[in-house]
Amino acid sequence: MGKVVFVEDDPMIRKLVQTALRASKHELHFAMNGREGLALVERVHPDAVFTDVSMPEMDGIQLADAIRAHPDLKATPIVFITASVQRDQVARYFAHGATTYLAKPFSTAQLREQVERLVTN
Amino acid sequence: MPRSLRFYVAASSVYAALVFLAVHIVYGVELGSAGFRFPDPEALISSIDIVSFIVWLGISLIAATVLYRLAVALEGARDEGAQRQGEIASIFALGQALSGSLELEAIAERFLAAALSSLGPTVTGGLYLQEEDGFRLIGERGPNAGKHWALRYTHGALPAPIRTRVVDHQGTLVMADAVTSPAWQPLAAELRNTTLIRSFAAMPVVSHDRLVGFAVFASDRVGTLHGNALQIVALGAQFLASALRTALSFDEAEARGNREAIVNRVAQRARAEHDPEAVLKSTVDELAGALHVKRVAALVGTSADELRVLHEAVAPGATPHRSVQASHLAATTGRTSQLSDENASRLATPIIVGGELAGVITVSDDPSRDWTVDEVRLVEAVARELRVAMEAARLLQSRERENQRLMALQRASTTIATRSTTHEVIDEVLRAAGSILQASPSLYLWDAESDALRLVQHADTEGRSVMPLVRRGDFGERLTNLDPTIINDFASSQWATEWSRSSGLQALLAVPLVRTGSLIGAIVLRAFAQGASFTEDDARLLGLFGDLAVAAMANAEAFERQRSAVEQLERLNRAKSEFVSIVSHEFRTPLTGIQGFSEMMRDEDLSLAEMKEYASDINKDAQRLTRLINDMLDLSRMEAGRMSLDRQPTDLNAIVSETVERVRPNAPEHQITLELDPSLPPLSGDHDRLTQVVANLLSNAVKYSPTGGPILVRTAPDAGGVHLSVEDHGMGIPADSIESIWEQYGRVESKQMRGIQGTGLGLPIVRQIVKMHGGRAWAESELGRGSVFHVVLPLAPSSQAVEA
Repeated sequence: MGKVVFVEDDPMIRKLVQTALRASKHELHFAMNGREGLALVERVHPDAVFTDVSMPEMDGIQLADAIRAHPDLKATPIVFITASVQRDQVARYFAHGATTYLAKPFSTAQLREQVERLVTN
Repeated sequence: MPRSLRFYVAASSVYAALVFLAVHIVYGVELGSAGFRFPDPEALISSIDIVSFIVWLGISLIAATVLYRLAVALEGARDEGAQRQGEIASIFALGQALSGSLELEAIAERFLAAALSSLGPTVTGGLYLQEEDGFRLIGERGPNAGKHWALRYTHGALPAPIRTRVVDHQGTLVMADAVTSPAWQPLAAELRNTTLIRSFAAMPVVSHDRLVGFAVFASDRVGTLHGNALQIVALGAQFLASALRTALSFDEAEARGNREAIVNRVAQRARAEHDPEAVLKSTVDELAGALHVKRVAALVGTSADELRVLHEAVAPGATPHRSVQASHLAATTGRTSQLSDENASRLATPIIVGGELAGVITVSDDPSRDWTVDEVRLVEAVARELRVAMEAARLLQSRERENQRLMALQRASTTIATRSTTHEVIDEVLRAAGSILQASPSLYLWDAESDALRLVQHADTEGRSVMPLVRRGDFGERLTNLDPTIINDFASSQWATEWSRSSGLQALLAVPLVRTGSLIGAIVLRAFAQGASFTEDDARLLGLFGDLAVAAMANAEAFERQRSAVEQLERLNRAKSEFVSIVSHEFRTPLTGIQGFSEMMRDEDLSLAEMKEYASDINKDAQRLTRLINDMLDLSRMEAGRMSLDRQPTDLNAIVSETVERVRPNAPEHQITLELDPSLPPLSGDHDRLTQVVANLLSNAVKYSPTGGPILVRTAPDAGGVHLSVEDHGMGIPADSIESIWEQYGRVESKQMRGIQGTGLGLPIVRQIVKMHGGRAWAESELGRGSVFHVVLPLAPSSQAVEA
């Protein structure tokens, strides 16, 4: 049993993640933007954070920076869910503390595998 | 030894007296001794004496005469032989005398001496030598020397019989009894003191079939000059001819040598000195030294009336009498001329350079000075050499000038190569052309509107202004025919104006600037310096500058075009990359849903309700993709002008109401308020496209006020149209993005709007549709407070509306 925070502004993707992971026994938390996401992470101290990159108010990059700057949370694995997977974009994710990334469109199997790997560690 | 008749008579008389005395004695003795006595023996004897004396006297007289005749005949025979011998000897002596090199005058003297000794003391002889321009008397001898014939004859001025018979046909003219000869009248007309001529002869002097000259003889005794008498002279003339030839060629060679020496010095100076004036000066001094004359002068000028003395050499102590008559004549006729008056004898020869008068060399001396052919030749040769020298100097100068110009041109083009803007290049071209050709340069460019060349750049050190427009036909048709135009002596040309006269414009040179066969402009040079003029060379040089200018303009334009094309391409390329990245991003989100839900439907055991729900989610994402693709296609078609409007009378209020009703359910957190003016007139528009406009604005308003809030949609009549505005209280738009939001994917430029779902195509589509309707769209916003989007549409498309 682990805790995972998903930060995603697209309702359809939030719904997909929730549906795909409902069979797992993990505790799932959802936020619609980076600002909400950071508050959520500070509150629940998740085993992993999955975040979209492009979001209103605070984007995924800013969120990652904030988590990596947080004394208690900085070790939390962060996965970027992103539609932009060009080489320079990926390098940017890692520069801002990404553990790995998940490219849209992703398969439910990929999603489950990433979650299991990070949460059971 | 012949004796006179008196001698014979005396001798005969002495003889007769002796015989009479002898007979008288014999008779006296014989008769006395015979005793024969006559009545008066004394008387008888006396009569016999008388008779016999008379008889003997007669006999002796006859004898005397006979003897005299005999003696005379004998003497005559002996004389003739001796004379023949003497004449032949004299011919040989003449031949001897004439062999070896002699002065012409000495040859003439010896020949005439020999001829006259043969022809007799009454004869006067003269010898003429043929020269370039006629015949010159080189010797004369006899009682009437200097009375009959002239010192010089041109060929045409020769007495006709001499000209035709002697000179032209190389025959001998003999008039033993001149007055009765048919040729006498025409001859006498040309001679002087003809009363002293009763016998006349003229014979050619011919060597190797070439006439060297002729000899003339005249005598005041009829018959003195006859064929026989002249044979010996004719023989002598052959010796004379060859002697003259020898002397002439010697003379010629010497004269030529002298001439060449002088001419060489002239030529040498010309080579050392590239200034024609300096060459003229040194030549004048050279000639003055060679000719020993009072004055030698070089005059320059291109016409007889413009001649001015450039340099003169006056002999020390001499006070020459100056007159331009001879020079004027030489300049007018283009030939050497000689003029004499009571003050001076003058010789002038023109200097012709390249077929045109460049000046005159004139030589003057005392009135008694007679110019020899050699002197004339020398002056002419010098003038000829001078011409060559001057031409060479001129060519050298022009070549040097050409070199300087080419170097200047090269320097200019190097400088020009470092200039990149048209303005800089034109500046440099004008500056260089103006300084090389010493004139004020201007650039005119073709102005289609005024159908004339318009002044665009002008440089004048004196700050003179020039005509702002050069129209067709100004300065002739040459410029519009793409040929360079030169107008020298502008003031007296037909183009002279008040301005040109007051500014002192001397010359104008205009070269056309031609690109792809048409006139695009002209470079015009105006020279104000006194006497300034332009040449074809100048025109060619300026033409080269013109080419540089045209090339520079073409380059600069091409460079500009290319730069903007490259910028455009770069912009397009960036836009394309952005587009690709945005599109891929926008596509990936709905695709994620489609992929994920369909995988679950495939892999998991689901209830029918779940199945339906997931299928509906998939459908929504598919519709999102469809909208995205439609928006892209619409915009692309509108921008490419491939979309046409289906214009109908349209009620904007109705469109707004319909659209708001469709949006309202999807925006539960927003209060959408309508303020629609019922008096809004219908407009001519495309219903579907205008619906798209309202829908896009409305969905933006909803999207960018994510926390909800009031949205006000308003319509109102506007001047000649309708005004639609959509106001939200959302995040607002930064001032620097208020325009870029209307560009394709402009949304991405604004960081604040990241994360708002959308294609980034909504506003560009709005603007395109509005534009197609002939209206305009803009936004007002305050960051953090909200935005108002305005659309104004005309009721009907005006002529300036941008139709698809």
